[in-house]
Amino acid sequence: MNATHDDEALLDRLRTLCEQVEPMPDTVVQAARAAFGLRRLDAELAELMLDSADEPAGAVAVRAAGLGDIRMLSFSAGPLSVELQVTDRDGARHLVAQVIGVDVTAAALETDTGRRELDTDDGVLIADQVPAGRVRFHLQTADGPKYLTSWIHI
Amino acid sequence: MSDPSYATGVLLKQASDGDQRAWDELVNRFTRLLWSVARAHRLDTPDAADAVQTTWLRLLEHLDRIADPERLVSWLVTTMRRECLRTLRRTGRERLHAPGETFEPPDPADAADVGLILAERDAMLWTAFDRMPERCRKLLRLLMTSPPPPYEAVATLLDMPIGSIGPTRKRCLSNLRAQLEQMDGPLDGGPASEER
Repeated sequence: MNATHDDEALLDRLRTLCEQVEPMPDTVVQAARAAFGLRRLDAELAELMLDSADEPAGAVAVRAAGLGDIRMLSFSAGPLSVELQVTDRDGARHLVAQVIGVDVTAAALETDTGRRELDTDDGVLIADQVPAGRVRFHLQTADGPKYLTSWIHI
Repeated sequence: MSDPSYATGVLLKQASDGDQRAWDELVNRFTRLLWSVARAHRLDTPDAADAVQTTWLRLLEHLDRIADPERLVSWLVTTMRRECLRTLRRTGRERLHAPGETFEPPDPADAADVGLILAERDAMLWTAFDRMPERCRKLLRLLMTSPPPPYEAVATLLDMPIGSIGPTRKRCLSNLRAQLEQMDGPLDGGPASEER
């Protein structure tokens, strides 16, 4: 038995252990395959440009009386930008988004489990009592193009 | 049916053109690696599953925009690492906000649980592995993925030159072996049942 063989054997044992201790559920692959159905070819992606949660703690900390931390995010695509504020309220998330640069005529919030239509008064979108999880906004504009914000975790 | 030997770049192009089978093949090929990255960051099962899914959703968002399709695996692990760090920050924040709790890095499998499912020798190896320096543990966790990830992806993840992966792997494994010998006399390299 040489050293290389020993290394391989030890790594093999570790691999077997990992599969026992930290098995990957089958649902992980199933969910990833099913995700293909979520692709939207008719909408342009509004990329996440800024997320205060990605900043070092304190750098962009914003506090409001009685609300705790406000998380600020910013998305952008061409003429469009979306400024989003997320706050915690009663164990759920409260979202306020301001759409800038385009005339938004319809909007919806998609989560892992569903979708809710939002009012679009003056380009302000409000979604209350959103459970923690992954979300993205669907935006329809007056002059045609549709936009989708990049998925975020709230 | 997509040929498993197809180059990643071809599968990416087919998936971008709407081919679900090409997408499935990409998922089959790389999900286990993404899972290893999550585990290397000590995410627990629900968080690991969630971060893997977010990474695949990010690829869907960028399917037409991957600059260098042949380097998809590096793109995936880099994206996955970012999602892991976000998850750790988020779970850390949530714990900090929970009254009376202090933040500790999530521990995917605590020693007592491991003792229940593993034979004593294996439990000892697992404990020794779990206590390794972060860099060694991450490196070995990635290298033991089946099939083994390209060294290029490992180098990207660990910010390590490709040339030092082999020597570091060797050093980490001898450290692990030394740890085990301290815990329980000499270790045979093979399975616990194998007589030397």
